[in-house]
Amino acid sequence: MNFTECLGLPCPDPEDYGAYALYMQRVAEMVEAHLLAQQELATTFDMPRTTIWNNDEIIGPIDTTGFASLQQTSSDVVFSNVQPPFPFPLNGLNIGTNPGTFLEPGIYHIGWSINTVEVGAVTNDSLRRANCIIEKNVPGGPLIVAEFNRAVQAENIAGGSFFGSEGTFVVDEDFGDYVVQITWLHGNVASMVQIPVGGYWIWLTRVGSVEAIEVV
Amino acid sequence: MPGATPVFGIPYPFVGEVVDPSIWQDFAETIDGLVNGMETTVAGLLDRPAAWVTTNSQAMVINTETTVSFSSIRYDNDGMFSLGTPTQFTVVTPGVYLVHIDGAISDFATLTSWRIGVFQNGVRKFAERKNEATSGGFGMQTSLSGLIACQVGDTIQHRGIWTGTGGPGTAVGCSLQAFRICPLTVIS
Repeated sequence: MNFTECLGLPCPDPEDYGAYALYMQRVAEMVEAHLLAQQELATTFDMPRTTIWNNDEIIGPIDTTGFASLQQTSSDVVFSNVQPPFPFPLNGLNIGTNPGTFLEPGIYHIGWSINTVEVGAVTNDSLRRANCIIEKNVPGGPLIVAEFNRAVQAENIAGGSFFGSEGTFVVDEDFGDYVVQITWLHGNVASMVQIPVGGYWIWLTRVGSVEAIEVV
Repeated sequence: MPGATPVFGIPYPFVGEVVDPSIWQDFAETIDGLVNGMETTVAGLLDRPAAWVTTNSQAMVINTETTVSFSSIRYDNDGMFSLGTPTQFTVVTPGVYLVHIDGAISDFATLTSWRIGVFQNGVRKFAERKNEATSGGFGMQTSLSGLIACQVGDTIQHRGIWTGTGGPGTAVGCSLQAFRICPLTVIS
């Protein structure tokens, strides 16, 4: 009895003739197992965990006091191939399983886009800013592992100030300790500022593994 | 009566059954078909739908949101773009797409704002705005990216609007790109 080099499929010798049927069954079952494994890998490749949110209610208005949390809720999920959708603890957007963890290590891509609109008068050239901070909870306090922030200056133009940012980051084996915090603030002293319905988008997708590609 | 594996139905003889050439042939041909099918599936996954079109001159009337019309196809492996309808991608394969747009406004006297946005089926999804410039020159350039979930037949467009003085403005260096991230199905 010999076995193939890579998959270990049995290759009977001439004296094994009486057991050919058994060997064929074994080969069939092993081939099926390997094909199923390949199918699962292909599906994983084709379906990176991805969620898109868009707010379905007005956010704010807020004054110039400082950073406010930019939260999405489960009703803001416009697409998710992760079920159930990621939960949203009170202090910002936390992505992953309860109580706010990522589902697995890997390289992730996150992006966001917002439109800030003044309730009243516009203070020309005043600040509009949003921060997207990836944190890892470690002893002694959260550690910032990545930031995708953006600041613009507003003008008195109908429609609001549109801006966003995006980037990739790595979540390690301690994926349960990672959270995403998104906050915003403005310097429009002339009036408060809000984000209208549909004015805040955020998306997250897992790009792949951090393991080095092995060439064989 | 031969047996078969439970999922893919690979046939095999029972113990005691004579293993004649036809049994070997069924066995081999079934595996051949399955492996070929898997190779076809994987090849399809590697060939993600993607398209990129550009134009370098789009008239922009002041304070009027204008849909950019594209004239050059850099690539389009899924038939999303047609020169007969040059202002849009039409989604052929449903899925989540990463859409990217670029564009600069020039030929103005003074620029108060320049905004470009991604529109799906005529509805703005996300946008980016730049403010204030005093020279036409190379113009005010901006870009943005975002993910949108698309059904078959959905349209994706790049629109721009500017305010200021002078003009008519010209949008230059415009591009519209999209590639598929994943299907719309849920991971089981």
